[in-house]
Amino acid sequence: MSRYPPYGGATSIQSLNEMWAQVKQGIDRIYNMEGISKPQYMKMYTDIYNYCTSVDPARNCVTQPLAKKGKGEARGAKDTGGGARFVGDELYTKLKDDLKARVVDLKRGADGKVGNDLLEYFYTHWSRFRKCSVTVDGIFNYLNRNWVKRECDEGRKNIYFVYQLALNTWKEHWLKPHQAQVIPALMSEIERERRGENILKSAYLKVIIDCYVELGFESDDGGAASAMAASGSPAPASGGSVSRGGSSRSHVGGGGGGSGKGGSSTDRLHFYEEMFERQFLDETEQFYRVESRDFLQQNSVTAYLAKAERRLEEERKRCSDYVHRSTEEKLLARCMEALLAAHLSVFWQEFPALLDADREQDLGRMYRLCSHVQQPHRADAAGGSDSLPVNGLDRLVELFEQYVADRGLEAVKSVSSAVLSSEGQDAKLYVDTILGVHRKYYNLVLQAFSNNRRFVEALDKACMKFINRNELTKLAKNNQKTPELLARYSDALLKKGSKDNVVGDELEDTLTHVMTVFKYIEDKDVFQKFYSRFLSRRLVYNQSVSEDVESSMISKLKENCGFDYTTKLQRMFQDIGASRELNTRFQDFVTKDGAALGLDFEIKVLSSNAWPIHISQGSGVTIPSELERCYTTFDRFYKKTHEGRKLQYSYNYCRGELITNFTKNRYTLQVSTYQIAVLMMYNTETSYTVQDIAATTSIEPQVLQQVLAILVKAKLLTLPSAEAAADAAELAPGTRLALNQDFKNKRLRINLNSQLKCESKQEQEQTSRLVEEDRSYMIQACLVRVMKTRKEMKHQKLVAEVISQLSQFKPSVQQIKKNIDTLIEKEYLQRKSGERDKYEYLA
Amino acid sequence: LTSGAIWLQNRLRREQRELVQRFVQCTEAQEPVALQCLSQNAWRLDAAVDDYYSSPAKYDERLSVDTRKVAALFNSYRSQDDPDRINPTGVCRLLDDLRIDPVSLAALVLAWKLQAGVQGEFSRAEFVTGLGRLGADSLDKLRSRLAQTERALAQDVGQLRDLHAFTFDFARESRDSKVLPVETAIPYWNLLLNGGPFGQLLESWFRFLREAKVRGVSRDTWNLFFDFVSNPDNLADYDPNGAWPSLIDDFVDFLKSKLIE
Repeated sequence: MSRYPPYGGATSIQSLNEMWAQVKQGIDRIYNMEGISKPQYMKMYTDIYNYCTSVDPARNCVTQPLAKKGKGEARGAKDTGGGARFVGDELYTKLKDDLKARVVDLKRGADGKVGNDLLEYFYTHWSRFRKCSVTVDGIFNYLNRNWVKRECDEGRKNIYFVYQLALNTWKEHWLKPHQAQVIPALMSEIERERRGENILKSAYLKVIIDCYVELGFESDDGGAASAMAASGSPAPASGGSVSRGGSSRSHVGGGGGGSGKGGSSTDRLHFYEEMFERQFLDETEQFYRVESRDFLQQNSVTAYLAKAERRLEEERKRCSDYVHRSTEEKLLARCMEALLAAHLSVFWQEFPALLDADREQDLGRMYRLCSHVQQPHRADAAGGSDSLPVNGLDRLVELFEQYVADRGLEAVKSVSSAVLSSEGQDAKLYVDTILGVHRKYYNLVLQAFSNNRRFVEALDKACMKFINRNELTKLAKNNQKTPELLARYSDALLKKGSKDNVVGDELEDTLTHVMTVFKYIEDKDVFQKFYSRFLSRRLVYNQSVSEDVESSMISKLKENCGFDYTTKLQRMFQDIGASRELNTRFQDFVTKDGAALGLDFEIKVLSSNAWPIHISQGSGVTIPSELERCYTTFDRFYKKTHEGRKLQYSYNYCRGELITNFTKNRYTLQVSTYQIAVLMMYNTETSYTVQDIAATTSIEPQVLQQVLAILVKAKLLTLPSAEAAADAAELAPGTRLALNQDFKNKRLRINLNSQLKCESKQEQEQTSRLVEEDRSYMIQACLVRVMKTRKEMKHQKLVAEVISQLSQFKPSVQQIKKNIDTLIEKEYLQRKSGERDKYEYLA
Repeated sequence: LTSGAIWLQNRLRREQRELVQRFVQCTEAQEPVALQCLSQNAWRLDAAVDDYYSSPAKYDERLSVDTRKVAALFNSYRSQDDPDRINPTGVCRLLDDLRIDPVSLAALVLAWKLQAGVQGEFSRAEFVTGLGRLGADSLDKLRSRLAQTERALAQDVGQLRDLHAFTFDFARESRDSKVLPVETAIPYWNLLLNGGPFGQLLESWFRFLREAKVRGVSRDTWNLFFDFVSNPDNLADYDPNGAWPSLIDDFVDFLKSKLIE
């Protein structure tokens, strides 16, 4: 440094040729990878600095007019003010020629080389050249910062920062002449890698491909180099540095200021895209088209899917390994086109088979791959169908829905006769069958289809289909069989002493499963009717397993269907609670009254509009005198507190216990009111004719026949021996029934209170009639509600609106029409005159 | 008026001439009347015909009536108990004198033209306004006007629809009845629709009503059945989800099942 003062005096001025000779020596050493020492580096730097800062009048005379031509006055002012001229034109030209000579030399070295040899040569010499050029750029830093920068600012074409000059020289004199050989070599390397053969190190390929990216500046763009200049203060003597990798370069862009012409990254990638990427993408697609076609001919679809997935992964890795990252998206799109979109129809064909075989992993893979396909694939690649879905999943979703519905229908079909023929109908089997199908495909959606919303919907639709209408409902000739059976199953779960009882958490879980099926039921109102019937029986007979579980079930229903759906159910609970209290008060009343009843008596007072209990005709009975006091006392008690309420007794729901005094063992008989009435008669005499019994008890003949049949069957009453053999289907009015005084039984408690046949049939009919009535009300209420707000409405719109508003069941159009007819008749609606299909609301 | 009308007629456009022709066909009125009536109703044939029928005297001087003659005619048939009413016996006598069968379409047309509220009776008001509208003040005139009206029904669906709708109210047992019993409805339909272009479906319809044991027909079904049969397309592309009353849905199902058989 001491030898070269910063601002050169006349003594140290060297002629350009002298200086260049020295500098060239240094450049030679650098490019020959001989290395230069720090002092050497500094000397060269200083020589150039001195040259550039020297003012040689003679030289100025030559350059000035040229440089100054057509330039503004600002330039002049700066020149005079600074005192220093920016010199460098000749030095720049010398350097440019020198670089060109070197590159041309290197180009010659590669002539005739092909394939790997060429790539290796490219890699070796390019990386060396590039590294060395960084060092040279550092040495020429002063030239960069002053002369080159100024020239660029002035808008002079084809002047580059030194590093970029070097790159450009490589591009023009090495790469372009060899392009026709380099690209095929690269392509064949990549293809060999795809075929699983050993290739050059991928690092080589990365360097080569990055070269295309780095050379992507426009010919007149100084952006990248200016960044170099800004950070390129005297570099270490070893020259070059690892930090100047291609990728970091591309980030720097024009950020270094100076030229202000830094191209955007897309502009800069243009060269790469044109020279390399386009062909790369085409070849890739072509490769996979051929490969996938061949592979599918010889292998299974599942193997292909696995391969395709692997291939996509490989290509993704390729992008991170050596292809530029901007290519990734395009590359994957092209791969998917060739690997997936072109074969969708094959996948679809295979899909049901995979479902059949429970190939969860393969299904998951097919799902993942198909979900990548977003665009309609080209018609020419299709295997047939014309209407190609936009999304690869569309068809899978459709197929899945159909498949699940079919499996559900099959499963139900296989059990339906067993369900219906078993006694009391095997609701558990039915519900379990449904749940089995649901659970299986629910899990599949979860595991294989990552709980994709569309598959969830498809599952729901399929379940809806096979749960509401299937072989069983066909066999039962009743489309509302499913809600009925589901209600029966819930009853079996919630009723004490049923064979389907489970406890604790398991019960809670099972009820949750019941709700799963419930969700799919169209006729929710039918379920409600049956459920409330069963609930009423559980409550009246104290058969509930637990009140907590009952109310948890009701809140589940409420959650699903809203407050209205469960009001009656909740009301029933309240009545039971109130009755409990009432009984205590009644006991007090009896004690105070001093009129002991002589027996235990419990009563439930239930409001008739909440309970599905109907006092049907023919359910009457004359209460035996022993019991009558209970009734009269209670009546008296109740009327005192609740004046104006009407009490009606549902004898068919009542029951009692009788103790036999005529036998050796004292048997306790659990019996119905009817049976009490009959049996109490035998306290006076031991034999009656059927006629006598009918007259005394005033039980309807049809009911009496069944009541007596049970007693005869239990051998409490005996037929005269002559008729004993006869079939007891119907007892003649004159038949004499005697008390069996030798009655014996293994148990001491005997339950004779089985439900009467005609009763259960009646109830069933009643339930479906109630459902129909309620539906008509709901439809009419909905029609009126809608018409009241709209005043006028077209028929089709009105029907659609009503269907969308009713959630508890799915009304048919015919049902709605019938109710429209009714409302027209009732003059709530009328047809708009002249428009047959439009209704008006009549206030 | 006459010369003016001729002058007008000369200047009529072709389609207007056609309208006049059709009006004359329909109403059997004179051409000048047709012209006047049509021009006063903005050349809308339906409106003009309706207008002509509701007040013919307005257009046709020959139809203006002598109210004293009408009153005398009424008095000759009125009931002895109620001087403002012709009772069933009187109606029978009137029909007899008009040589009209009591169970014919002509009898129904008379009731319609007189806007009778109750079967077998006419009130004085109904009789006087009715005859005034018809432009009849003698039995002969009345007979010819009724015959004319009956002939016009075959030409004019609008008139027939009106008569058909009137029949529901006329035929029902009381003002409160919401339905017409099928056994009442069938003879009326026979009178109204038989032989006409819609006659073919009528027999199937009756068979359906009997086989399906339909007891009564509501006003809506009554009215819409007329619309249904008056256009064969209604059956050809029938939409069971459309706005037809459900009884007609059932009828179409019935026809289909018969067709399959």
